[in-house]
Amino acid sequence: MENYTILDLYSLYQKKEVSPVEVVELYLQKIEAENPKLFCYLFTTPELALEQARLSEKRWACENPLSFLDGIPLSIKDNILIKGVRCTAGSKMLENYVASYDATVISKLKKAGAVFLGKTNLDEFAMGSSTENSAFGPTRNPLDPERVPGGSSGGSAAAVSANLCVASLGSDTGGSIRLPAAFCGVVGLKPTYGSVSRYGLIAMASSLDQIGPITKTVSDARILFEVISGKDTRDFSQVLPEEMPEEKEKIVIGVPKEYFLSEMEEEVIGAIQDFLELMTEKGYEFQEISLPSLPLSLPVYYVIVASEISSNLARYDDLRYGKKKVKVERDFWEYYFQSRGEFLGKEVKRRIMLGTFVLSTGYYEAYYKKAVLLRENIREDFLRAFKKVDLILAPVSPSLPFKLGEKITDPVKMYLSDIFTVSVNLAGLPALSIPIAFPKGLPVGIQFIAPPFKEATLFKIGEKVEAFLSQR
Amino acid sequence: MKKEQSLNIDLNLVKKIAKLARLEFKEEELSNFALEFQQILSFVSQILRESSVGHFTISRVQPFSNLREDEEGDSSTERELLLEQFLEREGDYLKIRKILEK
Repeated sequence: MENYTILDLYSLYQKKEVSPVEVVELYLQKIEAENPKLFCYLFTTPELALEQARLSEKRWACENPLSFLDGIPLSIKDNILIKGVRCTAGSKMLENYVASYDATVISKLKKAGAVFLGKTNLDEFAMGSSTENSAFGPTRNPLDPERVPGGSSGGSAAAVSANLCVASLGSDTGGSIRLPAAFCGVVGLKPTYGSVSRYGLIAMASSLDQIGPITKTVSDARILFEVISGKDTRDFSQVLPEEMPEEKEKIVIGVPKEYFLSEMEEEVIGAIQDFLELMTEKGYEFQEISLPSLPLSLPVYYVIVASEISSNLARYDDLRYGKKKVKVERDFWEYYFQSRGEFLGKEVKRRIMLGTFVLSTGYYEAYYKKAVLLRENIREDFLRAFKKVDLILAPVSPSLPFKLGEKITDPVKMYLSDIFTVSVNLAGLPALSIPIAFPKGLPVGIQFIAPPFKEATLFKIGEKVEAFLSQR
Repeated sequence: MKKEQSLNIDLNLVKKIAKLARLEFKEEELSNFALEFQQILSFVSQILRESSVGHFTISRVQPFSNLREDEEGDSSTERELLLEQFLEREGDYLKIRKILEK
């Protein structure tokens, strides 16, 4: 089966060489054959997908498609709500929960004519960097099934990489789009905080979460972003600029010295150095910059994210969301404690506990308030750097995709996987992860980080990088 | 504010936090969890040593209204989807667990 991009399929539909129903049927068959091994999908939605495909086919027959996405089969991370479809967030707590409304991004995709093949696996409540924390089992990396696909949007990235969908939506709170995109050799965009509505995204950390595309090409990421972004009156955390910033012709790229660590794997350092040489040959200008607050990003992130998690997950009391299987004859409080203990996984409990601790009397000032103030330092460092450079180049991960089971028993070791990604979320900036090399057959990704609302600059450079990498 | 000092995470502290967090741990889980929690706390406690902090200014908050405009339209489907998820139901009579103690 062809490894279609959005633009490929749009062209084929236009020329009537293939129809949406045919394509969706092919994808559903491929998922049935390959998903048992990779477990990208928690479940498929074949009836919904075929109904959407049939409607799309009628529009194409009249040469009246709704958008570039009309008839394009997508997968959706299972923390984004589709009305009438289960939404588990990778957790036993929501195993039977059926969404009663569409997320705004889903409404927009439906209006654009997109097709939903199913919901993809994720670390429980999007907490993790490997998709091993899913209550339903880990996803495997299509490039090496003994390795992780990254997380928490591992199911989405693996599905795109394995061509079990054309593109996907994930969410990124501390790198959860960019890391799995890098580990699976695909493209991932974390948009500017506030540019995509969070309405209908199961909340993890409300000041950090963003929904974004995971795709095979940068152009596809641009198409998806343009559909899902924009004002939504139901999300009052949205921040949109009054005017879009102007695009420059010549771009200067900053390389933060704090990002290049001796602890990085040799293959990753080698791939990035080769890439920098190639970019220099192509005429790009680089400048070393300093982001002095960067080394504190990880602890600051984990204090803030855990605090917000402890608040957001307090709502899961086993009464509100989904029918429960267990009837326990105990009073409410005992049941509340027991059900949360039983249905929430280890990593979720760790973060709730950490958040509860740092927000508690006697520790709030030292931890949470300090972290919030340090977050300002991190954001200021980036904004100061963007006065000298137009984009910042950074690694996505210090390592190649690691083996399943390698880090799962050591939470701090797992947290260190996010070392290059969390600062971007703390500062609310957009970043695009692109694969640049495949040493030993495993992908290395880099990320371009832009000032707020400069996704257009990311797409522009991303498309150019893709073009000259493909010529190598 | 408590003094910044190296925290010893003992089982009593873990139980106290668990009660605040509304989480029940089995006895056999507690000691392993306490060890992990100590490691995580040591990791994030790096921020305690940082003295140079920024100023959080209210002016950074974007001037938006916090009044949402709710979507107009038919909500009957959503109502049914919501009601179907109750554990026990007889028509519009919905049963949940008892929350008031005697």
